[in-house]
Amino acid sequence: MKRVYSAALAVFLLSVFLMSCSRNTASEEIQPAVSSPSSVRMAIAVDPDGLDPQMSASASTFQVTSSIYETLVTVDENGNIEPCLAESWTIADDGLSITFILREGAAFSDGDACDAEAVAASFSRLISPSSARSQDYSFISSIEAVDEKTVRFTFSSLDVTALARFAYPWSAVVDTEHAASLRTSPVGSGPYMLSSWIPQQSLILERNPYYDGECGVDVVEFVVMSDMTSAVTAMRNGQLDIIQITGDLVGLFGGDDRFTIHALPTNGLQLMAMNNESEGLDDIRVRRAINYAVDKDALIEAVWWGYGEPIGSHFPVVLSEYTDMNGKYSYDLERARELLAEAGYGEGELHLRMFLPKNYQEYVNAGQVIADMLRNIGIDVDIQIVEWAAWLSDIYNGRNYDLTVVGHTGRLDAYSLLSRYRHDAAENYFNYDNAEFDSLLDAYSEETDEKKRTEIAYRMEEILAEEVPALYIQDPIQIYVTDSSLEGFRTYPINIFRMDLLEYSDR
Amino acid sequence: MKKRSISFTIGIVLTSVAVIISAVSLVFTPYDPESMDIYNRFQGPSAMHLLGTDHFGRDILSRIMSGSLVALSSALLSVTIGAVLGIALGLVSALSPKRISSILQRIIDALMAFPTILIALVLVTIAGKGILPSALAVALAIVPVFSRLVYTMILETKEKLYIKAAVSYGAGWLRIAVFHLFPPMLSRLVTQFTSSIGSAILLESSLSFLGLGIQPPSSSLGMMLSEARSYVLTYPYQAIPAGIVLLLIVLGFNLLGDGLSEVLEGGRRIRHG
Amino acid sequence: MGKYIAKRLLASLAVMAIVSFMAFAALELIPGNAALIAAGTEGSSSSVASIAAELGLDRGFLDRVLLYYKGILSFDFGVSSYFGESVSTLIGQRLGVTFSLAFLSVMLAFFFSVILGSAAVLGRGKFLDAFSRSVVQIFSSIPSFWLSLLFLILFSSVLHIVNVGDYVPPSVSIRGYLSSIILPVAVLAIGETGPLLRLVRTSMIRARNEDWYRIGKVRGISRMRLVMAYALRYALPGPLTLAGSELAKLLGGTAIVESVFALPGLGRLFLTAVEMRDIPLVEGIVIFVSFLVVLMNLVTDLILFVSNPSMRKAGGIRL
Repeated sequence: MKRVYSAALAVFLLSVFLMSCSRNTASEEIQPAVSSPSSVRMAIAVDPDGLDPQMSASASTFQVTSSIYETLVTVDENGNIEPCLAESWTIADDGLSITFILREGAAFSDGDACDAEAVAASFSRLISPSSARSQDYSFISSIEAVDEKTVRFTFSSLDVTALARFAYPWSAVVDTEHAASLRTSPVGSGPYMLSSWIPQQSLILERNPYYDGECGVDVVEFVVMSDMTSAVTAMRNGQLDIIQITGDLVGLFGGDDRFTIHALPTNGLQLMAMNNESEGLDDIRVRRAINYAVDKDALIEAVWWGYGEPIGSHFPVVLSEYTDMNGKYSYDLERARELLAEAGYGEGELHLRMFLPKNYQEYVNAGQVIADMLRNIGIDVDIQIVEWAAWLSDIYNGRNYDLTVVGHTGRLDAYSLLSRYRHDAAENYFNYDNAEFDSLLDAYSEETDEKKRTEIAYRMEEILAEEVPALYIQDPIQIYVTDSSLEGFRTYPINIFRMDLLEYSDR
Repeated sequence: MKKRSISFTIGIVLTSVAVIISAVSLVFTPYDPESMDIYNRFQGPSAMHLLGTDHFGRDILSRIMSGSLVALSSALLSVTIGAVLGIALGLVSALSPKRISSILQRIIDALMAFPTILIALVLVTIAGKGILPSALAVALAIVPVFSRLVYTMILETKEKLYIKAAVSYGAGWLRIAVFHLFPPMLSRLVTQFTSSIGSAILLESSLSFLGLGIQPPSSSLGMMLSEARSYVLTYPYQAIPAGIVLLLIVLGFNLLGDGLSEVLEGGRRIRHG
Repeated sequence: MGKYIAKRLLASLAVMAIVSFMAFAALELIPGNAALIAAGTEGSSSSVASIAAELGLDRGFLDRVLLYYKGILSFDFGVSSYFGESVSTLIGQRLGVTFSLAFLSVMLAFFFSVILGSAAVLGRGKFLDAFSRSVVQIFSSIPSFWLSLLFLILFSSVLHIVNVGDYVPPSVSIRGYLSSIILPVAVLAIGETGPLLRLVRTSMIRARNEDWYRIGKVRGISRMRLVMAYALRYALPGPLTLAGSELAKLLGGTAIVESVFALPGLGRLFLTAVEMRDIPLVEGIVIFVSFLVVLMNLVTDLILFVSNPSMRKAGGIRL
């Protein structure tokens, strides 16, 4: 008897030992369970993929790094360029260079000055061949630290959209002295610095002591909550200050004065891409028939609970160059059937494979609804849900698909947004090929007259709306719920948050 | 034997109902289980839709019916594959020399330590759609159960006198296995087979829950629950019907397995693990 | 004895090598890699190649495998390609959660099963016996993910009793810790009670049929004493072994419950690692978990060995 007990005791002790070992690692982190007035807790669905903005392409990363690092310029909520690390700038008359004057007193969170040399070093890293972004910034031919506060960028070719490229979060200035460890120990000149990060649990930012600007809150905690149910429950129990929700959950917060609901159109769009080279879809009549067959209002209602602006072309409604192209192919089953018959496809004769990325429930849902709508005109859709990694490999890069539903984040200008439709672009997973469109793209990037440039943008939008290389669904409306005493929460046309602008009115 | 087994009775009733419903779904469901009606989604039970409609306005009853068919057929498939492989492996490892048998045991250990999710992912990616890939993944998880059972049972019987007699008469190992070792094991195997169907259904539905099972628009009970998960706060009812049906089907096979062991083995031997 | 342990540990190394190689092969077979994930749909195509080079993905398959094993020999499990953090740190951070879940739920299930099982078999009431048999059947038929959903609906959305998705380590607040893990522990414990209670029942029935038990009864030894001093001793080793191997199984098998309750445990980390094609992290977790499984099986076998002299003689430990 004793032996059994002592054996059981041994297991127990071993377990307690193992538990206490692991507890020690957790206890190093301080977790404020309840928000104090100077801290804000926000739920995020996925972790950043490391905290080096130049090494990432992920929205979840930029939403965090935008508080740690600064870009030379930034944007307001309408997309207008504003000063950030640079307090002013001059664009040369020929458009082939920009000179930035840096803000007085800018410093990295380790105390080093963030001067012209540091900026030049950071951009040299960004454009070096081993950088993930080298191609995006290949138009920069030289970077020169003129004096302590002045940096000049010289361009090899004219690109009228160059200034905006210094606002994107991946162009943030990093402290290159810590280049190797930025992914886990970021050093930037932004308002906050990393305090702790336990992946899949929480990421805590505290004030950067060397930041000279104002901040309404001292501590920002991003709580990783992959499941929206838990985030909503925690929000309603008062444990969180900001969450993002889906349309079906709005009713849970409406009419409760503890919360403010922000439903804001974003700079992004969602579409069903069609492979313009696959059998059937290479016929414009079939692509048009598909556009006629989909009831976008019903689709947006079914998947996004009506929170979305229908679009008719590859252009987000929030950008100034947007034109409404919705009227081109409004829901018309008769017309859809006719076009399909003209193209030579009778009932059930067209078979299309649709691949949907598993990680994005909204796209999986949208795909199923569209497939159901396409069945109405006799198109047989075979759905396969694939992992995101497999989607990127086989669909996006491999282009082995007929239909897929996905979203794109917007850019600040039409060129960056639409260059993926260039016939030889690596990102052209539509396999779209239109010579006129390609030449319009070139014309846009070299046109210095803003009015003419806008006209070119209109024409490009129109071509896509007519030739429908994809079914353009909507510009999504993102819904955030914040604590009603929290002020200054806004969304921006690029993937950033301005945590330094948040403050509590009263608590 | 005299006492009728209650487990057996309840088990046979539940499993027969499940089989009948799935069979019926082949020829009749109240609605097309795949057709959507977006403006009539999230309805509660009514005369029109006995169990209500789901997030796309599809009829839940119809989806449960065809989902049960998926659950039963894929479980049957996976347990059959798993049992055949497991029995073969158990036989070989029990009858072969110690060195080979210990290598086989290590392979089984590795199989058990290897995450089922990864196996399922590989199979789904390679073998593609349908019930086969996830059924294979489940089958691999079932192999060790049978191989271990056969292995220990053979070790028990191997020492029996009639086997030794057969060996001394010069009978081949295949003959011994088929005519002497196998028959006494049959009832245990039948029992194990039945209750393994219950576990296979559970495992398949958890794979579906993680999105590694059958692909939409076809329905499986696990997938229905996975879809219901998004609406736990707003439409909690969505998670109820498919879950109860899943529970009852699994319970049915577990009870039937237990009942069978009582009936076949006269209730003397009690199931072990 | 020492030789036995050494032999078992050696065998476990072989198992771990097989398992880790299988994981490598699996990740090689499924499409997609970490560089594609990092570049996403908004990165430029040139980024894929440079990120792949950075992560060493441009090398051949066998090259990478050998390099990895070389690292392992010096206990270097590499850096997660997704999080950028070292694999051992990431696993260390998760261990507490998963171990809490596995350990507490198996303990709970074990004590519940022993008490209910012995009371049902050795007690007088017919009701208790029927009750325990129903518990076995129903508990082993409930899908754990469905039960998790039901608990979520009931406790956090209807009753607002416990918090979900906000894991609090015990070092911060014991109450917060318990509140954040009580539901998942209950779900897992219910799943574990099925097989454990079944085994306790069969062992107890066997104890009841033993001669010494009958003789003890005839000699008038109190029922309580018979159970506590003799029957338990006779019947416990089996369930104890099962509890050990279930514990080991749970250490690698709490993924679903962790993801439904949004707990930062090993299982969820594993799901993310596979999704993100984070090869070092997948390998690290697979090796770690299979090591734990092998270790737990060894420990429980040793306990049996020590606690039951007859097994020692019969050489009851299977190798």
